[in-house]
This record gives sequence, C-alpha cells and structure tokens, in this order.
Amino acid sequence: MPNLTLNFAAKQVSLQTWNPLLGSTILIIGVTVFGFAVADYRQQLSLNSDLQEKSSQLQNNAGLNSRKASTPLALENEIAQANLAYTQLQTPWGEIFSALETARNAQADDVALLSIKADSNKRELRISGEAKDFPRLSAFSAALSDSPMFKNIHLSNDKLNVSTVPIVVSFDLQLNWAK
Amino acid sequence: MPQRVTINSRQRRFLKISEALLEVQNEQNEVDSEVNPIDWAATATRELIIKNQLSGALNIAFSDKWVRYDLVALGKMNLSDAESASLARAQFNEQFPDALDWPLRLTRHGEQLLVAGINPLLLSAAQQISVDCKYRLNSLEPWFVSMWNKHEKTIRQLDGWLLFEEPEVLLVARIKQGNLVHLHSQPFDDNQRESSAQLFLDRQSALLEHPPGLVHIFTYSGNQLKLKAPWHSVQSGEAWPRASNFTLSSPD
Repeated sequence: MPNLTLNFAAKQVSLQTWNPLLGSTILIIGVTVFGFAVADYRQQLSLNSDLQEKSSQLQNNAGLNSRKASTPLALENEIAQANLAYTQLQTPWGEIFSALETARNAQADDVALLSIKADSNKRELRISGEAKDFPRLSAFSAALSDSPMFKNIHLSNDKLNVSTVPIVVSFDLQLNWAK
Repeated sequence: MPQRVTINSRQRRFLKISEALLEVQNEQNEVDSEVNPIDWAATATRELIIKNQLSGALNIAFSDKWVRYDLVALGKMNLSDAESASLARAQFNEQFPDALDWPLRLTRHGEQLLVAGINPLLLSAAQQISVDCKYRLNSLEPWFVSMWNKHEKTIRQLDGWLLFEEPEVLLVARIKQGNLVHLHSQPFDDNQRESSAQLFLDRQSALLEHPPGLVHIFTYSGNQLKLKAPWHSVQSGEAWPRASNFTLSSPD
C-alpha cells in the first residue's frame, strides 16, 4: 500500500507510478543490451582483426612455402636449360664440318649435303643429301667411316629419285661423333 | 490576534531535537472572533518560528478543517495524469460547489483516487510564512495525511474502521485489505468529542451499510476517546506527525 502523497508545497506528482518504473526498467534493459551489443561488436571486431592477421600470416607462410617449393623447379629448369646450352656449346661443329668436308671432297662433286641436324646429348648427327649414284653414296659412307671423328654410321634411308634430271640417289645418314 | 502562544512540555521536548513539533495554541478568550482563523494560525506560526529561531526547511501539517476530500473509485482503470486531473476537478466541484477555486492534489491509492483540495488562503499564508522567515517550504500537507503516512505500516495490516480526531474535525476512513475505500470528514464540537465521534461513526456505518465494530483511533491531542458498544476503540500510534515541524491549527 503506497503512502498518500498530497503535498501542497510541491507540484502535483505524476500518478503514473508504473510509468517511470517501466520506463526506467526499459531504459536499463536497453542500455544493458546496447552495452552487451557494443562489447560483442568490439569482441567480434577484435576477433575479425585477429583472424585477418592470422589469415595474412598464413598467406605469407603459404607464399613463402610456394616460393620455396617453386625455387628448386625453377632452378631445375634453369639448370636444365643451362646444361642444354652448355651441351650445345660443347658440340664440336668445327671438327664435324672439317671431317664432313674431307669425306665429301673425296667424291668431288658427286655427293651433295642438304642438311645436318645434331643431337648434342646423344652426340648424334643426321645428314641428308644426294649422291650421283649408289657407288658414290657407298664411297662417301666409307669415307665417313674412315674418319676418326665419326662412328656408328648407318644409312637410315636411301631412294633413287628418277623424277629429277639428272637422276640422283637421296639418302639419310645417321652417325655419332667421337669425343 | 493572538496575544500569546504556548508550548506544552511535550512540544518543548521535541524542540530539543531537530524535528521540532509545535502546536499553535491559544486560549479561547484571547482570540478575536473577527479574526480569520487562517490569518491567526499563520501569524502565530510566524511568531513561533521567529521566537524559537528554528532552522531548516519547513514541513507543515495543517488542520483538516481547511481541507476537502473526495474519493473517486477508479477500479482498475488507468488514466493519464491529465485525465485524472480533469476527472478529479469535475467530481470535486460537483461535490464542493463552494470550493471551485481550491488547489487540488491527487494521489492514487489502490483502486481509489484520493482528491484533496486546500483552502487557497491557507496555501498563500504558508507560502508567505516561508518567504518572511526565509525558510524553504518543504512540505505542506493535511494532518490526516501526515498521520496516515507515519502509521502506514500499521494501517496496512488493518481492516475496518479508522477514526482521526483533530480539533473541531473528525475523519472516518474505511480500510479494506489495507486499502482506503472510504473517507469522510465533518466538523464537531470539542466539548462533546466522544458523543460526536460515536454519532459520526453510527451515521457512516449506516451509510456504508457496514456493521460497527473495532475502530482504530488516531487523536491529535493524545487523549483517549472512549466509544460505547457496539463500537470498540483501539488507540493507535502517536499523535504527532514525525515529518512536520509545525502544525497549523485554528484556535481552540
């Protein structure tokens, strides 16, 4: 039972006694919820920042690992390319041409060389050419065999070409050069 | 105008503590019948304050002789302050057409709206006392309200009749489960206080169709008030409102 509030020295007090209480309660609840929301927001913000930092660290680590992983491959490729270039540089083109010229000169103009392909790794040569006839082709092959520069001489292909004038024998020779 | 203001022994005892309680008294033959009782009480109170050099804020309880009460049953209806004020003013003016300009104060008590109107002359006098004596007027409330609030814990337990006896004024209240459900005041002759109180209670009992029985009595004078059967009286509480420095009353 509330007191009787009939004070004529003061203004009339509000009769809605539940209103201030309800309003205060709602205000307190609102402020509390807002406080919790702000705290939660800050926590989430902090968590987000931490996660971003961790993510960044993970990305950095992953990038480092990726670089670490890619470095041997790149190096391997570079080394392979360097080895290839080195090997190609090691092809004794001067001695090869000199030996080929010597063997061809023995047949005067009866043998013509059209292309030379070298495989430095296998020390292999593929020679395409044309000979006036089979005996001259055989003499050219024998001259190459006599050269100390070449070995393992094989005639991989030969064909009498009658469609041309004069008639020639087209051939492909495969051979290795010595060290 | 009063020539003398007396302070009895009990009031002197209260004067020694901060909550001084004074009663403006005078002898009947010293009062000019032409003097407005409110002016008399205000002047006497002003003299008392100055004479006793009291300090602090003024808490004045005044006689219910200058108050009109109206109890409006609202039930569980919730009204805004403005609606309550409008309803109170309409009911009060209908009940007391001679007090149309009286300032009102309202208080919600359970399902009732208690409306109290004060004589504007008394309100002006009290405010003037505050200005003249340079005291802040903290509270100005009827003696019945002061007593009710002082004994609120006791009254909360009661169920039945309450009688408040002041000089020249009687108030009868009905309490139901601690809630005020009826309040009525009427002037009476101090020389026939017991018979007047008995008659007043009989009329209220008949009016409310509620049988007589136990009555809890609060008296301003502290003197016992004996009632005849079927009424049984219990003197409750002290007579002096604790929160009041001064009690404004008319001359005996």
